[in-house]
Amino acid sequence: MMKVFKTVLLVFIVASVGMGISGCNKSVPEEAAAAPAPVAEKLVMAMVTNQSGLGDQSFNDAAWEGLGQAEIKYGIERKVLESREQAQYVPNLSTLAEQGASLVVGVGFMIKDAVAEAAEMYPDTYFGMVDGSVDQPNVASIHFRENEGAFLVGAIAAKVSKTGTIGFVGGMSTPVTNRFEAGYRAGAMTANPDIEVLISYAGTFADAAKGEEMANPQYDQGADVIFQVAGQTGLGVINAAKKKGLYVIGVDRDQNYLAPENVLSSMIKRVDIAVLNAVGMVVDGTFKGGDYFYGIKEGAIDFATSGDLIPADVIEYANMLKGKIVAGDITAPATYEELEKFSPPTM
Amino acid sequence: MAAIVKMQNIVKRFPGVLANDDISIEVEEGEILCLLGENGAGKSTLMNILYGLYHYDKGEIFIKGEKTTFSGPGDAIDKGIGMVHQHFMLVPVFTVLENLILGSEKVKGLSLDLNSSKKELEAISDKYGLEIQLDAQVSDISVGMQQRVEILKLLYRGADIMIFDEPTAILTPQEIEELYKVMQSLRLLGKTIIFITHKLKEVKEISDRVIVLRDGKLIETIDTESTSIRELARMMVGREVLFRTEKPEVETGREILNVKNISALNKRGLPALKGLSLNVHEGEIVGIAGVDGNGQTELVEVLTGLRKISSGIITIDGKDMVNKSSGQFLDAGTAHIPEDRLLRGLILDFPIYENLLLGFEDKAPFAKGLFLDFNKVRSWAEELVKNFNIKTPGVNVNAGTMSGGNQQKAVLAREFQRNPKVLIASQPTRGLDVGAIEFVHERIMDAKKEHKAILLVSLELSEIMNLSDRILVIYEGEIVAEFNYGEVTETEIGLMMAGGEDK
Amino acid sequence: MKKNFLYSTFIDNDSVFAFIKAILGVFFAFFVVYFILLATGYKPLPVFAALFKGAFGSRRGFGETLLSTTPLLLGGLGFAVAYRCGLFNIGLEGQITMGGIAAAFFGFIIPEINPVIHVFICIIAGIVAGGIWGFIPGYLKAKFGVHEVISVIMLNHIAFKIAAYLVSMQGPMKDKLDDMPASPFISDSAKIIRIMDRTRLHWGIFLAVGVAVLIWLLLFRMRLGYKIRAVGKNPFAAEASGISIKKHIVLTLAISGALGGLAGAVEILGVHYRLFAAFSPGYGFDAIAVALLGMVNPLGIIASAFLFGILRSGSVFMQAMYGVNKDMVSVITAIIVLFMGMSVPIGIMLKNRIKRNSNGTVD
Repeated sequence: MMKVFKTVLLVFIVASVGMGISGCNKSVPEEAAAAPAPVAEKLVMAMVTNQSGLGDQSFNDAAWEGLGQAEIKYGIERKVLESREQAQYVPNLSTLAEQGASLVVGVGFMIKDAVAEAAEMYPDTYFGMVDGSVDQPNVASIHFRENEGAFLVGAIAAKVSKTGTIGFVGGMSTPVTNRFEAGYRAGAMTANPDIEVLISYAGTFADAAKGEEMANPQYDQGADVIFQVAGQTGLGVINAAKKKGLYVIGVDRDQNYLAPENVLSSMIKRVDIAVLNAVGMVVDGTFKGGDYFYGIKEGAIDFATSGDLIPADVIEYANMLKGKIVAGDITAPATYEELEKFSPPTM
Repeated sequence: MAAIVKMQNIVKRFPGVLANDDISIEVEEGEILCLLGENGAGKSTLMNILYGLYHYDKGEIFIKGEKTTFSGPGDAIDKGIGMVHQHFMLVPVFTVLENLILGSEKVKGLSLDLNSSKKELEAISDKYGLEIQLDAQVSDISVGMQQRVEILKLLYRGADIMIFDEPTAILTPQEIEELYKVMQSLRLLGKTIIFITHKLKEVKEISDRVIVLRDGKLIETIDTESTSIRELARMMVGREVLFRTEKPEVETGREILNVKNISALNKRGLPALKGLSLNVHEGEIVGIAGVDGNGQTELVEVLTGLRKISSGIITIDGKDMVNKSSGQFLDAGTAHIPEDRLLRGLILDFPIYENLLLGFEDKAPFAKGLFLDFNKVRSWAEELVKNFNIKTPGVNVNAGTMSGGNQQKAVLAREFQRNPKVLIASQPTRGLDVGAIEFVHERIMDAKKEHKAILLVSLELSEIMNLSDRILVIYEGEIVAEFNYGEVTETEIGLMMAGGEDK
Repeated sequence: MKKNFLYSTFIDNDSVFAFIKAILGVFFAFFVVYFILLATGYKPLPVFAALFKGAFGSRRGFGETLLSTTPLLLGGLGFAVAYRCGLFNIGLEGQITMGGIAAAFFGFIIPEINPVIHVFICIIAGIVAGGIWGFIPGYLKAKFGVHEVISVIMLNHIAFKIAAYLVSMQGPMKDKLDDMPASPFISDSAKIIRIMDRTRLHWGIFLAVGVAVLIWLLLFRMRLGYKIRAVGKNPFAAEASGISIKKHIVLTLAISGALGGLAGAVEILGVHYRLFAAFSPGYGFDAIAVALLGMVNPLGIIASAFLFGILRSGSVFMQAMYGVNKDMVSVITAIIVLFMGMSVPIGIMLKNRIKRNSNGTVD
């Protein structure tokens, strides 16, 4: 028995000495960092990711990049809390608000309820809500006019298509993906009134194999360009394009690097610009709650041209449409109802 | 002859117990020495010390004249001491040969050299007359052969002092005979054997000398020749032991248990009871004699609601009990002393008072609405512990920490408390020592005096012969013979148990 | 003599030894995590401090600690009841899900009524739904001998899929006015009242502690609990004494599931106010560790659920203060859980070591 006690005792001693030493050595710089910023007055702007977290190569990363740009432009300090589960949204948002962040941005529509709750609990903190609407004076709800971007890539697809058939693969059928679809079909119709558009939804955003399964029949039916709005599932669509040697259009950010010969273009959603703007409002003291819409006009929606796959005249055509949207001459439909009523403008 | 093992003034203390109190023994080379004592007398402790499993607090050990200290069984094995435990240390999925060479494998290149080991082992087993199939898988061979494998293992590792810890407890009578033969030949070839037991008959049959332990103390060292079973029993228990329980004269009353033409399957789905009939009256003890595995287990289970019958009639005091639940059997007035008290009789992780409560939890005065009155349960349990002379530090002690005899007393206490009309006692003295057996028999006789109907199932023929008013012989699921008390000899019953003679 | 005294006070005394084991487990866990943090470039001590600061440092943090303690406690009790009957209910997550679904349904389908009645109805609905989800594997085991672990894993998946379907775009419980895959919000009268200003903490914690006491009474003072324990420790002896194994298996799993359902209902009515597909972040699985660390004793489970609550709420702060990345936080909490779970084998090892040196059993 003594032997056991000795062993345990030894472990205790080693452990406490080890903790003591490293505690002493390290606590000095640590406390400096931990203490509420002696450099002071540096505003903290923070964000809470959805469950995909940083490294999603999508809007969590883009929002984080927006805060990074804000660091340079406004001299603020950025902070992030990644959420592992639905139940963590509220504590994450609250913790940041409690630590004195001036702005807390929630990313992704699933965090909406949590932002509403935290905004009520911390009325003196400003909140941003990406992709969702929270009706509260201290929340800026950020929406993107994806239909505008989809309109542009729809037109590009129709112009590039040699077969007169193009495709669309969505993840799940949600109001957001439907908005993409409506814009896409309207754009295609505008570029070529006879175009045929094949539509399918995979039922999931997370299954690449399913994406390939959805894309292949569309290619086999003659589609030579497909627009994917399907997250992880979309990677399968890009794979299918690669195998068939046909075109695919990416989403959210420039996906050309995934298949340089096949990703014709990508519809780009600049979450970073929206986040940067939100920070700007807080810094300038002009923050106002309400809905903010980001589209082509705000430079937050665009199409990618990397890869040099789009013919120059098509780019020119797309830029012309861009101008008309900015000018208000064209309104890209955002719902099925609006699509019904949409008639291609005569040019 | 020189003392090959000398243990001097050994003291071993466990918390609260002095297991070995200044014990000195000498073992002579080439003898069979019996270590006799009741459960808890300190026999196994002493031998575990000799085998290096326990450290001792005081004393000295000399092996072959040389003072020795062991830090583990490894040292003991090096000194030529081997021990056959009650529970075998064999790997069931290995062959006998693989088990034997495990830990001392001979290697040829990268592969095991099984052949040379096999030859060596065959030579040893021939020499000592050990009948062993080296190529059989351990899980396929009989318990007796497994024991021989353990013995061969010791011989193979060069043991010349061999300790057997209650080796007969798990053997059939035939296997015991064979073990005796092996022990004799071991002795003839110069091995020294220490034999731990609490069975007096065995001591007389096999040993040269006996050492009797009681309550951790050495009582006597004596030549087997110069003593009797009665004397040994007195030394072991510390008082006179009655070998034949007084059989009270009780008038038998009406029929309580009536079983007619019942058939049932065993747990493997094979027929175990084939149209069996019997009855038991008030104040009557009916004994079921038979070789193990002839349907006794199933019969008891059927009569306690633990097994369903496929046909036949069971009534208790006129009430139909066919395929009723165990609870309904209890309600109808059955009490059950199960053959395996550890499996069916007790919950080892429960304290004594909760064990005594089993089956009473829904009854007054313990049940109070949804709750149980544990204070009442405890004081009642304390009373039972006193009445049944259960040796325990208290009723809060877990049943698993008690000795077998005290466990059985606890089961008895509970079952008698049911105030049953019929008592089903299945092997009530299995694994108990003389003192405890006497106690159990007396309690059964008390039940008879109280006009209970008693069905006694036992593999101990002498127990059946001594206690029963009527003896039924069971063979392959049927009652093949019926005798009255005193009208039959052991040989006659033995014949019937083996299937009867050709008529 | 002194040795014996130490032994009997600390090692042989089950409740004291259980406590020692738990402390040892936690200690070893922090010891290992310490080096992992060191190796990955964090400063261990401040990170540990942040864990506790997060859990206790503020009113809100403390509220969050108690908030996540609530479902863990109820789930842990659910697991413990089954475990006492010798059953391994890893289906609590599914039972929580079903309880949540039922509570949410009655929460929004019934308009504003008396809050006490409304909450009561929803909680009963949750208990019944969870209870059914526990009854099914119990019945399958009693009737057909299907091992509960197998059936319960399947029932988990069925529950998850049901929840996902109900709030999917076409699902019948989907809030048509909202993009989110979630049910409509429950009526205000169905919400469990919050008890601490500016925190989410609600009455559920008192309910959970009350239920823990109730389960303790059930197991150790009531007839039913005695029979449950008897069947758990030795079904053969219990059966021989007239206690029906099958009946108690079914009953126990139903109670266990009902506790899971209660946990789910309380989560929906007190925290989320609407049904999400995955509203429980694995409380049903953590409940296993909670119950085992609490020595499957309801009173111990109160303590261990609280400990797990600290981990959950404190880990947020670890991330916020020192940028410990979320996967690292998962690793740290997993190690702590692992070692706390290992306190049982550690205890056995310790006991055996000591036994071999100074003790043995009298034959």
